[in-house]
Amino acid sequence: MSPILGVVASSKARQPVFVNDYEAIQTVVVGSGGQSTISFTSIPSTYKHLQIRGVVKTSYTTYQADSMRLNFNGDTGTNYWTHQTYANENNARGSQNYNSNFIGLAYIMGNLSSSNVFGVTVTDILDYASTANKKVIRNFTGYSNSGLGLHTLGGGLWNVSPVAITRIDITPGEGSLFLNYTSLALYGVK
Amino acid sequence: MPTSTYDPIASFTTVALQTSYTFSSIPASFTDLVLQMNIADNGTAPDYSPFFVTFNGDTTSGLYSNVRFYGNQSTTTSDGHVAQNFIRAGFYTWNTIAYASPATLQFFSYTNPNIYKTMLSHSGSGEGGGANALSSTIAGCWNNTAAITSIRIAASNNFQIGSTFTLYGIKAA
Repeated sequence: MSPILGVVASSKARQPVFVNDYEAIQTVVVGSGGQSTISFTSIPSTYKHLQIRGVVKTSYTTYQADSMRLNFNGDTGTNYWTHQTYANENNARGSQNYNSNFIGLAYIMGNLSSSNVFGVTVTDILDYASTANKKVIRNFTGYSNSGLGLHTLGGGLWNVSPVAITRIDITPGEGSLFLNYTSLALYGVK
Repeated sequence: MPTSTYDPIASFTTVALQTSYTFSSIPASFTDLVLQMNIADNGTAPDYSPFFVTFNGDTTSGLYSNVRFYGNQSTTTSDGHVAQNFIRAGFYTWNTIAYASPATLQFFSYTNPNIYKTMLSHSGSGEGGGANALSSTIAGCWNNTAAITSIRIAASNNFQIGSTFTLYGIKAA
């Protein structure tokens, strides 16, 4: 998924394209003991958009793929909708999930095989601080494990009266833990 | 304190037909890499061509895999490839540079010594009169924990004059 910013290359190597316009806010790196929730807290309202990027693996071992669950501001009520198209090496599908307790971000790697293969994600939240718009995310997430894989283009809605997002919690879909070396980073875009 | 990032590392525009372009000596100081391209091929029909990605000069290991989803005006296809010498990383137009195709490739945690290197790709070919212009999303993996120090993008035939390649680095907090 293309970043939100335009991507005009600077003539000055290694200088930010837009100084102070795309900023790294917080990063969570999971240690050897695993972690059940990754949280971004006290998110400042000073940006226009947010982006979450990272590599993810969960403890799920029933199937190769797992997903992530996204919640805003501690809300775990049935206030979320998810729509996505996803494809593996054989076919493509669409799915939806509404009046759910979370937005689903699919698909990343569980721990059934290949300890070194992680799923990756780019998730955008536009106008996250708006008090006029309900919050909608888009994500591009997936993995390739020796020709077996899944990747998804997804959208999700937080269907509550518009408030600024100040907290984001991410949990595994099926597994109990995010595994060591899982890393998610939050960026702000002005 | 938030730190400004999304830094241009290198940029290149072709001035002659060439079969590939390589970003080399990629610094290890970032977390993710984003490659933006606007490219065309000098081949002929069909209206689209695949392009290919390899890392660190590895073109023979068979350590690459990919899962693709792509479609034209009437048909969609999903497929996967394993034990390859390259990632089939996207599609682009075969026509003149006037119909250059945009492609965005994202490489995550490219220096992490504990994980294989996974990329996501989103590309599209919108050649004006073509009946088979494609758009695609792809997940690819290089089953190697080594840090990525170079990225080679190979054409199906030759990249047209005026094809552009720009590599950016993003550093996490």
